[in-house]
Amino acid sequence: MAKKTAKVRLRRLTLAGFRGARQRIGLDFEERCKSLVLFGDNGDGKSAFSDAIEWFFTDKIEYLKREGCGREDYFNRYMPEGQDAIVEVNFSDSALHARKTLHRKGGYTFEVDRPGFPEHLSRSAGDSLILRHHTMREFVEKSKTDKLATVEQIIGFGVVAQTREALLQALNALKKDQNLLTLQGQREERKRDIAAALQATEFEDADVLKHADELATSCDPSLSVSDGAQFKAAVEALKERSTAGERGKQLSALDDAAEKATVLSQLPPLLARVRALVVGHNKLAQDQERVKAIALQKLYDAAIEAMTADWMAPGECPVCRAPVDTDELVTSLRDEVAKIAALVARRDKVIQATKALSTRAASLAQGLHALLDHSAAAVFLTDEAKTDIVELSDALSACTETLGRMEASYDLVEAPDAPDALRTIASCEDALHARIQQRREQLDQTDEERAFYERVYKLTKLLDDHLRYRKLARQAEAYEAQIQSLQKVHEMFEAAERRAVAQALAAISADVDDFMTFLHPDDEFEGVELTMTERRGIEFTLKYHGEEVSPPMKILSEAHLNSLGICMFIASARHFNKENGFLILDDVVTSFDSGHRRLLARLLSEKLPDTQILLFTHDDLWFEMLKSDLPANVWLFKELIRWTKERGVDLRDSPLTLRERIENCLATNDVSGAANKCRTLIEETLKEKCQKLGVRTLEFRTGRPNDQRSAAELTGALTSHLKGNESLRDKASKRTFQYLRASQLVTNIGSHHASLEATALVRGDIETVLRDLDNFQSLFACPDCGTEPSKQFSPPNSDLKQCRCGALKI
Amino acid sequence: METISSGKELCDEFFERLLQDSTVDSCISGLLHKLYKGGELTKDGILTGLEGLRENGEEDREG
Repeated sequence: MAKKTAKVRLRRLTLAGFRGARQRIGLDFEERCKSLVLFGDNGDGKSAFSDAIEWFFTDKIEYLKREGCGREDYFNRYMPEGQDAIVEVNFSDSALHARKTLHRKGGYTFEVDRPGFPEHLSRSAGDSLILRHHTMREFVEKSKTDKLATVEQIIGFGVVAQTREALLQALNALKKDQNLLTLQGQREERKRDIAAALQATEFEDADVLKHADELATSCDPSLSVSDGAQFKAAVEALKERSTAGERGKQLSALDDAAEKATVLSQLPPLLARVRALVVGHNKLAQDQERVKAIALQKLYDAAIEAMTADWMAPGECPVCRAPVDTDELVTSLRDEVAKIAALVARRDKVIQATKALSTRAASLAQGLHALLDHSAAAVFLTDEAKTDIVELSDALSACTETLGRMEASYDLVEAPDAPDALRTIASCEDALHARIQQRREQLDQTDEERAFYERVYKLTKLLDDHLRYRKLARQAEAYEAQIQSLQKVHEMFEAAERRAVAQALAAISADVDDFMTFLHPDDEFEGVELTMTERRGIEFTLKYHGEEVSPPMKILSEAHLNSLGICMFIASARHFNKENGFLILDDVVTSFDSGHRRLLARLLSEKLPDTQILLFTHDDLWFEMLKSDLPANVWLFKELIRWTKERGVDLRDSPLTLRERIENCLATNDVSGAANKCRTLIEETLKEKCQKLGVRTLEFRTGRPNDQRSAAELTGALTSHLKGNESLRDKASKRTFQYLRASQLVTNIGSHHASLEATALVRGDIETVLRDLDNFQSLFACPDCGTEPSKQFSPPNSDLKQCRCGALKI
Repeated sequence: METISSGKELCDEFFERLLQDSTVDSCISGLLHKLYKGGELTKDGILTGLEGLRENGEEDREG
């Protein structure tokens, strides 16, 4: 058995001239190929790295493509003209190292050290590697059919879908095969002729043999017909007898000519039916508005389903979201769908009729040629009659052409002209029969002879019809048996596919449910799973208060749906990424509150210990949390330096504390960045104090609401809590609180209005904020032991909180 | 973690089993198996193969 190879991780990712990266810039994941948290403000170039990975593996950046951006937009726009862009990836397997160059002149090239890379690249095609904020809900919001297509793509079922499609297309083509339709039409004609001879509507072979036996015995009592061979032998014997003399041959030919002449009387009704069908077809074609609406039927059906299944808010159009009367719209759409269905049904009938008439027209055209070519009939046809027959044959060709156009489209067609010959055809046939009869009399045919020849003729025709019918039936049945077999194979294949997809869904669902429960432990839903729907599709279901809900939009919030998107991505990557052991989550936590953001970090760390994670974020609070939560031996923390057009994307290892990061901002004159981080630092400091001192308002509101508190709210809660505290009631302490409030205002201005000249902060403002914060911190520190009063050092349920040594009580 | 068949494994197994399935015409299952193994299981490939089977069947009867 082949040794299972480990999935590869990223060792180093280097860009130059690509997207936001102007100068050469690299993410080094160190020897152990560690996971990474990359912090950068919006616009600092985080996505250059995820874009580079996507382009490296797929030659495109899908979300940019959808926005109408092309390869020209992949180049850094400030680098010198003519310079190529480079993305270089070193993997944990050094044999796979590759450099991809995007050439200004067009195209791209790979430079590889060893030959293993192309196979890795090809096998990576099915791996899902990147989840971005704006694409995280894509799967959740797809239609059921598209969800199935996506899952099949994720689980590498492309070949399965191709095979299913090939079987289905072949099956449909076989059902519509023109040759089969012709065979079926001709089979029915022969059947009609035999049934007419037998004067029965249905018959078996035995009925045909019985009738043949009666005819043969009436001609010659010594003959007997009980099987096919005897049937043939009897016909041969009687034909030989009837054509033994010249008179017999002529009488037999006259019978044949009389039979062939019957084709003429069948033409007028056929041409009349074609003209009537044209009228029916044109009535449908005139309703072009509804014909065009056929294309919208699926949309109407989907809209009705969306509204009746409560996927949409009531009173909202499912397409444009404009306000509508839902009940009225559903009724109106149902009415429209019913009218379209009626139109389609009428159209189906027209198509069936065109097919039947086409077959009949072809058969009559053959009959006309046979009449013209018949030696005996030709003798009795006048030149005018022959001209009429040619004209009728041309009219049949015109009918066939018209029928073909009607079958192919809804367009209006012109009814074929009624040929002049149609008026004279009946008299032409009568004259022909009269001449044949006259010739019979000239041959001095007795009644007994006439009866004999008629019976021989009928027996011969019955044999011909029966042999032809059996051959046509055999050929059509061969088709029909193949259709049946192919249908069965297709159904078996679909069933096997459904079983395999269901197995894959069960595996993914188990993880999605596990991850969702991990992220939302206190929420009242459970049992999240992906299930196959009755039609070809899949959908999420979940249990809410024990009741099954589907689709999840019915009850899940935006944040929950985002979680679902992330969980689906991680679960599918965990099961089905074959080659690569890394994932990039690019700014996916924007809509998460801090409680769930931390849980996401823990989920990644605990549930995917073998996967290298690259987490990109612009949320500095979360970034700080991650530094505390994630083990430093397997995670790196880096941050982007403010992007400039001269340098492009640039980064550094992230300092350990927020305070150090503020000082770094000041060192690079990034005052607004420093102000933003100061705001976070003040909030964090206030939260820490509130928690240590057991500020009640804060304790009663654990979880998500706490994360939404502003610094002003926290200061208010803390001030209120400390109202009766002796040690903090002096003027200096009150002033320190007041200064902190002012600093909050300053940092809010600095972080929210950085672009306004009138409110621009200077370095000195930030330094003052930091001093105010230091002074505020010192109020809570014991001068003796240096620790702060905290629940940790205090007796249980005590209102007063003390420091470790007990000298300071608050 | 549960092992899930790849798309190719599913198809391989399906067409091998099809050969043993007595409820499907052996000529059809043989044809589809051969086309799949040869990488020619397309709509046109199937239709051409089926036409050949019909012609052979007719020749056998007439012969």
